[in-house]
Amino acid sequence: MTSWMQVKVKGLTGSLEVEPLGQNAESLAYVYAINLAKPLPKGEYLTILVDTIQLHASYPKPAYASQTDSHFRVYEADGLLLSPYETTSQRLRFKAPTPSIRSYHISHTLEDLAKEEPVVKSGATVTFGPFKSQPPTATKGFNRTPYRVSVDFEMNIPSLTVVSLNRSVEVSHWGANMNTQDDYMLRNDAPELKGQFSRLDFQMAQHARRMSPVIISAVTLQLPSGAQNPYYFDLVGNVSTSAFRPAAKPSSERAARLGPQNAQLDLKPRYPLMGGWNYTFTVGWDAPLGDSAHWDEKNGRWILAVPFMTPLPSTPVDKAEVRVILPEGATDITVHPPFDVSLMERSTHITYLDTIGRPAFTFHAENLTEVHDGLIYITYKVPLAAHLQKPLAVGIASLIVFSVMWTLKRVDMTIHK
Amino acid sequence: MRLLYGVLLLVASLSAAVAQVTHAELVRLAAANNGVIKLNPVLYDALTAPNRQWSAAIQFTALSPQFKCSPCSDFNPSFKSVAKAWSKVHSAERDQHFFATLDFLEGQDVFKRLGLSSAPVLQFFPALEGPSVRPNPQRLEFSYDFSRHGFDAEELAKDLSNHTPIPIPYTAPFNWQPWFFGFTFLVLSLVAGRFAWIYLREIISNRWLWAAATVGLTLVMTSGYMFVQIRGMPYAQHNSMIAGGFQNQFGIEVNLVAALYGLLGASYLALILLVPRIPSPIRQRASVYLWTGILFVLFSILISFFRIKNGGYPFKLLL
Amino acid sequence: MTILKLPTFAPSTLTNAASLIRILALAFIAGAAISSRLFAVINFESIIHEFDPWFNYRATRVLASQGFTEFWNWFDPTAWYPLGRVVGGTIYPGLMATSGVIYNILHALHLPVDIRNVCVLLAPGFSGLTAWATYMLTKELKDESAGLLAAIFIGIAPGYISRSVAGSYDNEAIAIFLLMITFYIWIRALKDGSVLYGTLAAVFYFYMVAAWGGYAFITNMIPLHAFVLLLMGRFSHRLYSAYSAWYAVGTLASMQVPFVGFQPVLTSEHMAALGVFGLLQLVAFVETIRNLLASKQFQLMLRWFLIAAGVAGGLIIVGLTVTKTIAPWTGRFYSLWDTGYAKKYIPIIASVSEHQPTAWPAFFMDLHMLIFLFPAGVVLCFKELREEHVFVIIYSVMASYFAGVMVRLMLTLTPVVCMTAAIALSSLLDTYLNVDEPANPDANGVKETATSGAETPVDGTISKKKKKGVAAAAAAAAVTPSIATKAKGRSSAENGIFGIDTRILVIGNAIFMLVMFVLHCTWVTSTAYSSPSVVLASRRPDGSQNIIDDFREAYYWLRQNTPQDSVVMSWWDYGYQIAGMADRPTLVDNNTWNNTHIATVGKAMSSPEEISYPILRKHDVDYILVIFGGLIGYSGDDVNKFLWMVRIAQGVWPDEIKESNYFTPRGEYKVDDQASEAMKNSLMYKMSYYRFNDLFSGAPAFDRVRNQQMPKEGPKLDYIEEAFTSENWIVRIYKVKKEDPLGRDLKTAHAFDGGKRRKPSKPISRRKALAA
Repeated sequence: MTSWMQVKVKGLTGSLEVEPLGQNAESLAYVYAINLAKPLPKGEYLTILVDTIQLHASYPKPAYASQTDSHFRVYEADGLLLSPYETTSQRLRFKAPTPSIRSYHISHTLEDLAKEEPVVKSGATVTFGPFKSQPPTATKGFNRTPYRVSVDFEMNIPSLTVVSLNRSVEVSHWGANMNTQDDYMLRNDAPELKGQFSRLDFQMAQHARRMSPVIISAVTLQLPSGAQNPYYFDLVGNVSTSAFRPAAKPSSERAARLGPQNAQLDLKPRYPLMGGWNYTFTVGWDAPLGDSAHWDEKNGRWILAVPFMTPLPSTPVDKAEVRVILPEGATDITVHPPFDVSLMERSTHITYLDTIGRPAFTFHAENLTEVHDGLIYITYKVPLAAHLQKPLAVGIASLIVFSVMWTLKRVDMTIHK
Repeated sequence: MRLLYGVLLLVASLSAAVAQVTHAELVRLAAANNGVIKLNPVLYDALTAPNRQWSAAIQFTALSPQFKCSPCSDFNPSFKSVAKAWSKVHSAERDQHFFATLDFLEGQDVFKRLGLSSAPVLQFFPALEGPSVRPNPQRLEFSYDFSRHGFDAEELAKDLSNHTPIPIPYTAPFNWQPWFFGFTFLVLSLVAGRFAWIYLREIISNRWLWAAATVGLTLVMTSGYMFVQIRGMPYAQHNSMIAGGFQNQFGIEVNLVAALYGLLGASYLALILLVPRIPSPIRQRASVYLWTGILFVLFSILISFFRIKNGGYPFKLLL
Repeated sequence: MTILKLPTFAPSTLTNAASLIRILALAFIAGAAISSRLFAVINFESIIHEFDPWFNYRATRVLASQGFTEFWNWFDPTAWYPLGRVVGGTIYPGLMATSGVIYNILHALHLPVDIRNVCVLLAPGFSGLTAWATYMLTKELKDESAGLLAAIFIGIAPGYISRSVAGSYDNEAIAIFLLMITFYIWIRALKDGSVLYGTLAAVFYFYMVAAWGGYAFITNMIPLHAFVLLLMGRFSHRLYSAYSAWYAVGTLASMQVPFVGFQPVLTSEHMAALGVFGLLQLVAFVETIRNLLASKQFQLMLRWFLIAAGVAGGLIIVGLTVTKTIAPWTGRFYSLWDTGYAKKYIPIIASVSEHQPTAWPAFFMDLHMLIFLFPAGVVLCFKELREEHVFVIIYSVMASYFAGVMVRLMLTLTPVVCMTAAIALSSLLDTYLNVDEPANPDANGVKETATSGAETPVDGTISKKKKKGVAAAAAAAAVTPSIATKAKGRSSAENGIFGIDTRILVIGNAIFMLVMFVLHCTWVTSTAYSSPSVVLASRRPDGSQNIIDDFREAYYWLRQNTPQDSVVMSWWDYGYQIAGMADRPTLVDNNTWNNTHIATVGKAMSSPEEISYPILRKHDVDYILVIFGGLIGYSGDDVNKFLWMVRIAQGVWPDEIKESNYFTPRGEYKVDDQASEAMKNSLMYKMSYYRFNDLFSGAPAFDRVRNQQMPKEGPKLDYIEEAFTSENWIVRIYKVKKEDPLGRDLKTAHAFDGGKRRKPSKPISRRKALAA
């Protein structure tokens, strides 16, 4: 699943514009158009780098593993690039996380196309090809099946997936605070646990420090440097097993030059996550508003920067929903998400003692990774009246209650004396 | 003469025992004592011999007064009446099951051997040979569960009937006594009440009598009387008056605690009601000091008493 | 003659000041009552406690999210699998309705408080209201100062805190307030003979019926009070109108609660109220007639009519009971009178720890000094003996009996103890805070002149008024703000206290005791009554708190990693928690309505695997959950509850399950080598100790709850397999295997699998050994 794509001209900074053209009806291939900055004169060369991130591209093999087993995955891909052009030379290089590669496989058809040695393995890298010149492959009659390659490699890092992430960011000018709350749904995508979980074996492995990397017993979130009052709970209440390390104060000059450090939140799920297990939880924290909001004096507007997400290391997010709640009475709002989100909604959110509710923006996006860790920029105005709205409302309400009580107390309601 | 006879009998039975107590001997011993065989170690071994063709229910008890085992004497009559009921059964079945009792005085060795540290215990020994062996006995021997069944004869008969050759034909004797007395008492009191109505009325309408009754009742209830009643706790144990544990108490503690509460309450009442009525300042002052002192001392006693029951209690006064 | 000259104020100033102080004091008392119940939230978190509250919480969530109609018609198919439970008709909805209303009001005010927090804080909130209701009731008995004392007593007495800490979201949380307010309004109705107040009492009675099964206490207390008043010859039209209004409206209203239905006219618990109602009608009728007709014969006839009607009414009730038209006492209530009944016939009731009788330390723990002020206060009630005092006396007798029989009913005793103790203590303070000294025949002159100098210029009436004010100010300034001495201590001419040292001594002692009381209450509340029991706390060697969260760990695992419809079997104690936290269907839960179903679970737990397995499969059980404390010494585990399972199963299958089989021949309850065969083969034993030995890697395993060494050979399981064990092994979950696809029985299949696996591994290890 393509999560992200970036195209550059070799040697130049700045990426080129990519335009998805959708699925071609004839060849059934998904087509993207790359618009070059200036047309390429005939006969000249240009090297274009296309970076993409593919999610869920490998699968565990075997599909079931016991608690102590190592974790192997298989990556299967087309050996030939799907392209509308003729390809003179191509090569496929696969870099595994560890040198422990159990096997690799190349189809016979593809083997025959190789110019020299069809497959070379060196260290953690497997190279297929280079292959001979090919006609365009993104055509109607082209059958990809005979050209598959696969690598069966060991994984020494957890295969976690965030199935869904709901972030809710609430801005309060009165409290000079920005509260962020994330609802995570985690799934361990490692091979599913064979048989059942044995605490005894787990504890023994833990004791002997031979824990399989497949098992996840803690995750660490990098929070913004000003984060404070973190909380961590799930559907049945507070999870007491978490540790919060606030960002170190930049005491020395060197530390200050390094830029703000992150605060860290170590979360230990209620139970160790075995392969195939799920865990949902909620974390949240406060941060000073000054860290992310800026008063633009010239235009008389607030500029707010909200991180789209707090990525877990090498963990894709299948579905994300980010909701930014602005102060009550904010007007004249402009919104700039960091990338093209699939859906953006505006709604009204009513919370403690609000009278008309707060404007809220919800961004929906799918298939995110660490590269999507960008900022949503929102600018808005808050008139003074909006700031005073809440204390006034509360004051008037209390006044009414007291005067009603006072009147009732002084009205004689007895029928006869 | 009678004593001598008894000794002779004992000697006879002992010698018989040594020479392998026969089944007939056991039957005779049982018949001689309303269906209960009085055991000694030798007889015990004979009765529970590994080749026994009969079953037996043996009561291990300590009836002599020096052991102060009140449950023992509570249970003994039930056991006896069930044994007696069994002795009325036709001899064909009757002689395949025996009731026997072993007193601690007679058979300390046996108690020690079995590791019994408390009494009473009722142990059932099924037949191991011969025709009386029950098909598929669920267990070899077991002890009767007093905590479940209590000391009631009816329950005992019911439970043992599952293991005896035929059910024990026990019927609880209808107890006429309380009904008779109750009825007589009712009639008498009605008659007496009619004649003494003038005085009775005074008593019934005397609020302080009612007050005394009410206060007495509340004191007893708040001192755990119902706990002692429901759990059947003994009045006291010979080595300690205070039961260990927070959720536990003996009968005597009801008295102690009720007395403490009562005295404490009374000293408050004295300070409220009596002291202001004393006309002489000196006597009044003395009694204020006296009652306050009593209050303080009793309160510290109460707290130290509570500390015995609840080891972790952090507060203390005086003691 | 006074011992202290106090400044004088205008009477209106005093009244206003006293009323302000009273309001402030009540506010502070409510604050103290609420905050002393928050230990659990501060030490742990805002969480629902124990077992039953989890169901109430779950029901409240349904009410809050789906509305009242849905809640009313809620059929819960996940409870009592496969039977299901009609929740709307089998609960007292008062508690959930209360939280639902509060929740909706808060949301209407744009205060989006989580429903969980409403539930957690409901009990502390209502304890503040209870303090106020107790104040009102005690005020009727004596005066405001006694009322304030009673309010603070009930506010912090552990006997009430034990069931109303934050998070113990149970019916009792609101019921005690309703109990007190109903009694207060009843007393007011009786005093004024007011139909309005009688109806109001009925309204609160209805609320109580909707909230707690203990409403039967009110149902019998008020008729008993009326009856005793009748016997004392205190029949009055006030009594007649108050009682008739209460009974008529209250009974009709209470029948609107579906769970109660027609019980108020069909069961014995409610017959006393009906009987007294009838009796009052007769007496009132006879009284009226007698006033109208003077003829002696007619009066005689009337008397006989009264007796005949009374006897006939009684006979009708008896007859209806005999013919079973009126249900006899239900087991729960009956076991209060016949204390041996429950143990013999309803082991489920007897097995609950809060249904045990109360030993004296529990009384002292829950009430401290109040317990001995209680009799003193009762005696003072006898001294006054107005109608309301008769009520308190009856209440104290009944409640102390009930509290002695069942630990749980300590809750109903606590309010009356607080009231009477407050009466006693406030009488003491009244006596010793009164600055007037009695006339003294042999007084020394110095004091006399000192006080008389102040009094001479004022004329008699003013001085009297002033004295009132002075006494009030003194009382207000001291421990209890009070203008109470108005009515009291006026006879100071002959009775009173001499000297100031005596006053200081007695007052000092009283204050000392109060301080002890407060310390005691705080200690008891923080140590004994503030544990959520879902989360356990232990101390690490370095003194820091270690949270043991095994229950939630396991429940959450069930919730996240098993199919939504997998049926979980556990002992009934954990049914509500599983439904609330794991959200999975359960076989049995804490609503112990179906004894056979519970006995089925008991049988499955206490039988050997091959007998249990068909039971498990027939009930579609996917997972079995047991609680095991042997590793860390958690004593409330299933092995300790096991005998109750056996007993309850035995009640239904006496031929198959026998309690004595689970004991050693000596009659001991053992899990070690000497454990009986039945014990060792039981599913419960196997599940508890499965692979427990391996944890000790060679050393003999040791059960820290029962302090016994486990046998060398641990149990083997063929029909079920371990699915999850929590961090401290407290919760162990097993998965029931499906039938073998090859049609073998699972024991053979397991042995075959085991053998197959062992074969290749053995030669290898031998070879290795040789090589080494």
